[in-house]
Amino acid sequence: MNAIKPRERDAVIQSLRAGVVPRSGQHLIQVGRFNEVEAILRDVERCADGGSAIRFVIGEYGSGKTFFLNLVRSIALEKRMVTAHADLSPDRRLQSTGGQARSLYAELMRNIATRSKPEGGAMSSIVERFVAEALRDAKENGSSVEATIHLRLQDLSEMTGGYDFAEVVAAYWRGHDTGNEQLKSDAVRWLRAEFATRTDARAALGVRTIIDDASVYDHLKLMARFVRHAGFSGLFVMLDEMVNIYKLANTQARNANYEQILRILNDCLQGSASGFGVLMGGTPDFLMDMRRGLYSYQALQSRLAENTFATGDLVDYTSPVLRLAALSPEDLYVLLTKLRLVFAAGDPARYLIPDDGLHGFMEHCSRRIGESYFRTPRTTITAFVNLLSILEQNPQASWQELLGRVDIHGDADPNQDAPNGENTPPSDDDALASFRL
Amino acid sequence: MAIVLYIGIFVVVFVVVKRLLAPAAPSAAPRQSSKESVTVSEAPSRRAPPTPPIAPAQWRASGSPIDIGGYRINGMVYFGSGLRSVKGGGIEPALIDPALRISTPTDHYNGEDLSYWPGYDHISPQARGRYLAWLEGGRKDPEISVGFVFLFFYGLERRLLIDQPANDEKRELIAEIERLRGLYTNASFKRYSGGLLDILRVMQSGEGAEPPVLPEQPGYDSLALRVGLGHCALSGAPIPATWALAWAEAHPDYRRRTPAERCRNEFEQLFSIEFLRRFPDGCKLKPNKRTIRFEYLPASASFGHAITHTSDIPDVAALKEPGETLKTIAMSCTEQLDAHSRYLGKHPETRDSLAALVLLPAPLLRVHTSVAIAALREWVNAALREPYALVDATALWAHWPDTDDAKPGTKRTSILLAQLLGSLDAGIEPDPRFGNSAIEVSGTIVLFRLGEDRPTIASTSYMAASMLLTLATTVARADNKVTQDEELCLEQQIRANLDLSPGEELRLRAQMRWLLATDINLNSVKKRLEALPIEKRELAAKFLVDVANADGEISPPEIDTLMKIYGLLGLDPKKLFSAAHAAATEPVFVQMAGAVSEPYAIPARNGSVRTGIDMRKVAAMNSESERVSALLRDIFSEENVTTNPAALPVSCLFGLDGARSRFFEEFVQKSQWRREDLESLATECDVLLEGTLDVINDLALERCDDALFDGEDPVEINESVARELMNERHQTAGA
Repeated sequence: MNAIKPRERDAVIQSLRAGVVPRSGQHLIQVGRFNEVEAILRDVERCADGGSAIRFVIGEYGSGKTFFLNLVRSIALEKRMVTAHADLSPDRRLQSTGGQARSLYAELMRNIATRSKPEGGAMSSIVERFVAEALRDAKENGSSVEATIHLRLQDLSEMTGGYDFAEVVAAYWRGHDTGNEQLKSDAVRWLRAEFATRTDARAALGVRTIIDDASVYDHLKLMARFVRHAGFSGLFVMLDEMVNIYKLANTQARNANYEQILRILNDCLQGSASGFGVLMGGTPDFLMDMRRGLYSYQALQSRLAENTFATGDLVDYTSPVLRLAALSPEDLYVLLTKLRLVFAAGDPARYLIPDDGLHGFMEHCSRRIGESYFRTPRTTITAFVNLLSILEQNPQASWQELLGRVDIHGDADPNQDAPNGENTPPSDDDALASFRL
Repeated sequence: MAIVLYIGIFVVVFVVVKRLLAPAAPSAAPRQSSKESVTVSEAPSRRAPPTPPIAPAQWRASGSPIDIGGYRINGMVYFGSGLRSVKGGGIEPALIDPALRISTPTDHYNGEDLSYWPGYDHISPQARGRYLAWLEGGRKDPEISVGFVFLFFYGLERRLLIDQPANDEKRELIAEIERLRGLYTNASFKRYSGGLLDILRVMQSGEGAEPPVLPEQPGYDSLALRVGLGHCALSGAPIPATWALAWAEAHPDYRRRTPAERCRNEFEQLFSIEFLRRFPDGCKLKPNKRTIRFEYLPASASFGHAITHTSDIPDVAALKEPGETLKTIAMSCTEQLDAHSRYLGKHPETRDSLAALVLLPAPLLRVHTSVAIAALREWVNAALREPYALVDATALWAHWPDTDDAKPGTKRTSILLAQLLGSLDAGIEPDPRFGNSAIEVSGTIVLFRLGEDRPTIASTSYMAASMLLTLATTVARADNKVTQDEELCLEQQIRANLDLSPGEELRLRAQMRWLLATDINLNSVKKRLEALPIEKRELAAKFLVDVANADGEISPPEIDTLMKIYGLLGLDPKKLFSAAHAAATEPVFVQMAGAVSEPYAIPARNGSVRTGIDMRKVAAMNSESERVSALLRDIFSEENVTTNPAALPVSCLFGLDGARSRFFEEFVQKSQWRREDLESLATECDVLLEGTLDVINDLALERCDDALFDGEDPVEINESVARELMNERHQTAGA
């Protein structure tokens, strides 16, 4: 058995204790879903080869959409792609006129990540990798760096907003060249859509346009092409909590968003986007509600409808819609063994709890909260990780004794009643938080 | 373990029976809280055979000495026999029972054998002795196991949550907890004691609205903050900036980076500025349905359940959106302070010097009260009595500290100085950000008052105007007499012909004054022009003719100027006439092809109307000007030094180029890098830091399947990966 890197181990444990999906090390605790992962892997490879892909990851609350999305993110990074992810919210949508689309783009770009900077905030790195290439070219050919930047981005200039994009990249270089930190950070701010008015952009960077609500998707395509120029294989965009579109009360606003989705879908399926993949996570009602879901938009319904031959046990993994089934008790058992292994840093000799303990734990949870202990495993996992933490810190405590004290509640979608996010409070430094004595 | 259990059972039995026989003393009996909000659920107690009764237990307040087993302890404990645990069915763990055996602890015994949930009744006689010795010694021995601290804390917990003493005693007990928190840094103890203080605060906050105490460390989900925010929402008051910051820093995704630590004051100040900018009318929250329900799980096993407190205060802190927004503001503030913080990292002693302050973001600089800035502001205001002022550069540089990496007179420093002046509402010419040379250490400079519109970069139109101006001034100065009329004429020509923003016009006028007042840079312009290839000079000339023709006519004075410029460019003036002729005979615009035909008046001849400029032509010119903008920069930027940095004999590693290889070699030498040192290394090797780090890490991931480094500041090197890479390198070098 391979040893597990301490960094990944800590990241996984810490996230799970806080009840959030880990940002790295997902492969350590991935369970089942072989076909889904394989389907996505093919998508990622196609994008990395200059193709395009789009998938709607559909699953119930707590079924692991976000986990799956993050897993795909790490796969895409491994394939030398750049990733960008964001949750939709009332203030962040695909299409709007009040700044919400720009705000979504800004969030995506703040989270933009590369393999060596998987935690996000990689915009400067990407731009600098591109500029460094241009710099080398310029040195070899004896031409000016700015001219080289423009030359290399010529194909961008033909696209909407491309000319100014190239100008801003050139401005970044000029800022670096003259030690003008302000200019550098303004350039990055522009690329992250943080300029709200054209006047500001012109004063700071001399360009006439900004990334605004209307040009968000165009800029995603530009960015996809740009990262290829910077030496990456493409851009993978992950949009979670798509249910926020479904929740829009205004029909017009909702349909405008669906129209934007249709545009992306068409571009990706017809191959007119290159090196560009999109993954959207949402609940079944977001997909299937005939009044407000994706299906309410006729053009999308016909494209997304299930393959009529895929019934019963037959599943079509090439459809744009990927349905995540809930975990089975067996899956959960495997997951617990994996967690145990992560805790033991990959060394079975250091297991904190024997197999009996796993069974006992599952039984305890099942008695307390019924079958949701494996269907929506978030709280089960948190409780288990807490149990392992306390066993680790207190070798004298026995698991049998602790087990009866594990307090566990069913996991309910917090969006149902109060407008609360899935982020539970951050983990504390003591494991006893959810134990009763 | 089994023994402990047996003892436990025995004790349970003992106590239950005792209770049956003799009711507990009134002062010590656990009293149900009169407040509805505190609920204590009883666990079923177990039955057991009878045992003889012993003296009742009671709380001994601080200051009432107790003698036990040769130790004299100073109260603040439960003392006596037979106090049940809160949940019933067991002995109170914190109870010091004089009937139990005590033995003198061995020399270096500090309680290593204590279990996770100690109780006075079931710890060893030796441990009891040690505990009593610690109590006698004033509860401050740092060597002691935290288990004893907890044992004592259990008593305080019970007293505060169950007995609910008078306020004076409460304050005293809280002070004692605070004191212990200062002494014992065990994470578990910190968490429990913090939690207890929190819930006490909440239970009190219903009565008199005390201002919340903000969380002492980021990431800690402070109840005080939630309560404070809830009160704000209820009363409709806007959130104070300090609370907003605490909220932002408590966000699970928030990472406190170095700038927010190192420049804490600046960070807080900047946050409140940005916060106010984002919420000009104050950030007000609507109360939500969810109310704050606080659970405190007592450390003491005596309770057996959490203490819950349900308030009617809305739990607005649970709302996702405001937290996200505030976090984004805080992160952006951190980013804005990066440059300043890195400079301080390198020069910690220079906190108040201009060289450090200049790196602060503009909104902060504008309100900064440091002496250095105030002096400069005063000087600028004195100089700028008129809209434009010719001043001596020496006087300006006198304000600047001469440090190694901010030498006066360099381009880099000049940009900083120009930015600094900008935040004091003053512009300067020459300004390297607009394609000019650096601000020399002596000689004449022009200061001017900035207006509302203040570009910080040259737009293409401005570049064109600036070129025209420079060339025209060069020509005008050629005969060595520039009259006021000529000046005015120049200015008008430029203004009429190019689409400049108000800020650009201001600057252009300043530039003209500077050009006329100095002659240093004209020769260098000539030199640079001569160095340009002929086709580029022709492109520039054509552009100038177009500019002159933008108003529909090339006037005789313009022809005159242009002729001289042609001379300056080393071009044949005859070409000017054909170019001017071509420009004058271009087709006249009537209407868009394919447009719906409406009756139209026959347009006037080009040039006969001088009502304004033809915006279509301007637009066309602007798009053309974009092509020449690169050329313009060639002319006006300082000699484009193609730095061939350090042509050191460095082999190219792993396909990296020379500069990056050099960076890599240096980089792996250390196990940890401060960000500012990395910046210096990158400058020294002439590479772009972020991009290079990305490439290097990528390379390590490719070859060793692990990252070479981790973290932002400091950057930690993964030594095993570094070794592996270096080995590989030596092998390839050997081969």
